[in-house]
Amino acid sequence: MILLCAFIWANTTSASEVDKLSNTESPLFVSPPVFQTSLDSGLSIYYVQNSELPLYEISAYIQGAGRLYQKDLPNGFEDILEIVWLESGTSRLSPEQFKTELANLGAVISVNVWDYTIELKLEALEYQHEKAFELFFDFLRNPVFNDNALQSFKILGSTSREKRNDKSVNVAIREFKQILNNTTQSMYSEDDLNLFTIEMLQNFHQTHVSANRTFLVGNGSKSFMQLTKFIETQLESWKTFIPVVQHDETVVKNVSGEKSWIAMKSPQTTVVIGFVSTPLNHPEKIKIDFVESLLEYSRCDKMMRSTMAISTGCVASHNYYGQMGTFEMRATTQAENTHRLIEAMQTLYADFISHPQITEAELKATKQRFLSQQIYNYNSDFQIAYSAFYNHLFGKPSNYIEQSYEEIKNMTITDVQETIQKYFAPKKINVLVVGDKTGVSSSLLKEFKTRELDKD
Amino acid sequence: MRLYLIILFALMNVFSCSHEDNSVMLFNRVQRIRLDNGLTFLVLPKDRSLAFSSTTMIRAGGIEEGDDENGLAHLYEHLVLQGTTSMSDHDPQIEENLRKQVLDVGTRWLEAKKSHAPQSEVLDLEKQLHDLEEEHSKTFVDREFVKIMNDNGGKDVGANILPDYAIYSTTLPKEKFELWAFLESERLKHGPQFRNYFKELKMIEEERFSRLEGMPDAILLEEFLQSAFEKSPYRNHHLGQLSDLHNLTPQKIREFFEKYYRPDRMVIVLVGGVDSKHIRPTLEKYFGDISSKPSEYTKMPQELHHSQLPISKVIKTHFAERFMIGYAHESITTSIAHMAAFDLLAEYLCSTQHAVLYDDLFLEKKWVSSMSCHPSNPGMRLPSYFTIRGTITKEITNQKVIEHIQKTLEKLMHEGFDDQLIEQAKTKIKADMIFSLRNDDEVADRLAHLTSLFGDWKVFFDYENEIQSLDSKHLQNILKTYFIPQNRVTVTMENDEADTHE
Repeated sequence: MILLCAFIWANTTSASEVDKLSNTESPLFVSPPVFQTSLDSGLSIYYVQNSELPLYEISAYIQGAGRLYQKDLPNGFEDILEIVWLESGTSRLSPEQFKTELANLGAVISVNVWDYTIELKLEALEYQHEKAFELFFDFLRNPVFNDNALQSFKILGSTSREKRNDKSVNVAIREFKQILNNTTQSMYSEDDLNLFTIEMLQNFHQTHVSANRTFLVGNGSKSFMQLTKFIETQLESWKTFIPVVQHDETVVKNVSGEKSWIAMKSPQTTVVIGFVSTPLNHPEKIKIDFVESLLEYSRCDKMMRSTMAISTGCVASHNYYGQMGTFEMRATTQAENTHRLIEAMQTLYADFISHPQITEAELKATKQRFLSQQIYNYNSDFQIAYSAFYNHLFGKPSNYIEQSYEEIKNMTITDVQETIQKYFAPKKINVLVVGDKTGVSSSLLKEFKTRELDKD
Repeated sequence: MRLYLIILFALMNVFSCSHEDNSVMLFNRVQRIRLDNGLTFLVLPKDRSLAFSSTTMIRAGGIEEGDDENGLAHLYEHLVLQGTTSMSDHDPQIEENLRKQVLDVGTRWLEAKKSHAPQSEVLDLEKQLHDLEEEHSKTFVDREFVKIMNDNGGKDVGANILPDYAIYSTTLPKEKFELWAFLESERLKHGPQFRNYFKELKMIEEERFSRLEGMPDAILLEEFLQSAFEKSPYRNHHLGQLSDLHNLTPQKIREFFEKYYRPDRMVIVLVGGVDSKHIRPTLEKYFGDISSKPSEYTKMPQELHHSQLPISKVIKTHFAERFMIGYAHESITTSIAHMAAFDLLAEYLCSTQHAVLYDDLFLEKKWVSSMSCHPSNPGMRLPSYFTIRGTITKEITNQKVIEHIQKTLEKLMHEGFDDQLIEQAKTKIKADMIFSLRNDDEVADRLAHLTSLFGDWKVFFDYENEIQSLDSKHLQNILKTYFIPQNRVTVTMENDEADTHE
């Protein structure tokens, strides 16, 4: 008996050790100071100082210049802008000279087009960082777009088009976006590629990039005072003003109940379930994110791995095109398991919205995971500065983190169930299957509107 | 007193920060802790970090597998992510009983399939297996190790099996350090518990399918490896061959653990929010009782590369056409100087903004839509290849591109390298290293690699010096020795249909 007790004790000690060690609560994260200011020109700065690392990471976000503001331009404009701007020179330096100067400094510049903004990013070493900044500001203000780069894109863009249908998952992501939201642009066609001109790019720059629209966000080893002084000197003469135009956020399409099958030759099939959801600034967004996390991790991903043996698991997430949100839950499997995957996804989702059966243990584990992982939004100086800028851009309060933390800590099973009913249970969800329909039963296929994947 | 302060101030300025010194200062904080059992830790605290990243690197990769065991290291990795009985609430005895039954029936099922036994027998065993797995699954939590980590704020919890190593890594909030220590040490002490053994086999089958089938770059790499090596274990893709995987047994997997998961083959690196002053007692508490039994020596085949070089192979597919060429060389860890030279060459040719091949083939000629160089493919511990790969555009053929690359290399060989571009390549390597300091997991990975390859992470400083000392003459010698057609393997992917190439 004593031995039995000892045996039981020995083997439960470790499990309770996991509980004991897991119960160290993650404290609410308190953000280090983010310094903010605006220059006379309207240019704004969000900055975190850190002298531990000898580098600078600064992004210039240009408001009112993202893809939402490019709808009158040909398809693919955002892609061409990214690539051609990157390969351009400035009014002072040819592309060749510009790249040489950057390379000599070990600095890197990148260009990304987002929904609302264009981001130009500079990564520079402490060593001669002021020279790197000079180059960066010149690049921001006075790019001279390069025809050779434009021609390269046209040729390379053609190859990218060919590769876009290599994987069923990429096709599914792209096509499902189109099903839910016809305001997004589809991929550029071969004809679109011939529409782009250097003048188009230069004109876009002149009408969208100005001091008042620019936010410098980042971190470095200089003090805030020194940095501001430096930027003021560098950009003293940049006082261009272009008013920011409000983007029309009307939801154009609200589709539900569509079941589509895009047939393509592929060894893998991707299944997506989703619907048009809530806007980005919805007051209950944090609760929606929480439920999404529960659905993804402890339901869908778990099922995909343990029942379906799918190593890539499941993705359940909201995507935003401007304010408009769409929700999708997605998984990919071998073609021979298509039937099983469709059934499993539909059943899982139907059960989730009709009788989720959330336990206290599941709620607790989700809270713990969700709250613990919030620190990764603030685990780098750049992210901290970016979060402050992001909150400003989307009108969130400065104590957004603290508010969110409390809301999640106080969530109950009832709250979760209500959130599911309000925001995850549209009358009819949409389903998209992308993959080979060979061997699939006709009774299953009948449920779907089928078309062949456009090769071009 | 005043004189003392002036001297002190002067000294501070002598050692104050240029960009090199700041990164050096950061690395000077690395603390090495070696336990009595031989297990080595490297700890690098960073003030601002809210979390810490850990990398456990073990010389137990694909090359440690025996003949007909391709995929064993990968299966091992899957099994240990399931966790151990010590992490679980359930009765270990009941779990063990059911586990034995699952393994017994599952093994018989695999045998029946292999020997083409009557369908009814196979189906019957499959049903028995399914029922037993259902019962067994009630006695533990699936992927418990990963779940506990994720439930406690874990990020990027996982593992990676490479030809050279097994790498287990995670990032956790800093207050979860002791939890990490417990979980990681339990995993290293007990090894695999064979939970969900047959499901994990199926998962690997599916993973191999999703990462290789229909993935043109992965197919290209696999074909390259098969062409480039005869006897070297680098010949086999570390994801594993299904035929070998189905022949594995729990006993073989257990033996692999006993042979290779030993302190003298491991290094554990912790970077970020760690308290380096008080960390030792925690490490002693959890890792101190891991057996110090030394590992077995891994005997590798003597073959350098394929005995029939040069080799050329064409694969017919419908994917966009692409190529991979490789130049054979001895292990990159022969010396730090050797590694530095190949790294610099890769930067010069492919990675810098003015990289010679990139500028030429991508920007000017528009012959490729993407390209990359790798100094030592697929690994670093054994003789390997410097590879150049690219996807070509419709304007050209693989053959023409490859001929052009060879001519470019020969020109460099005889006429020399541009000094300014060499300097730019050096600057880029240094810049990349400094930028990577932002990410604790990258730093952990880098330190683990250096220690595993060379025995001491401080070779990092030698590496920096070697890079700086390289010039055109050094690089020309490298080209003359290795980058010759007789030393080359070429694999190309070409379309089935006739195409409009030059």
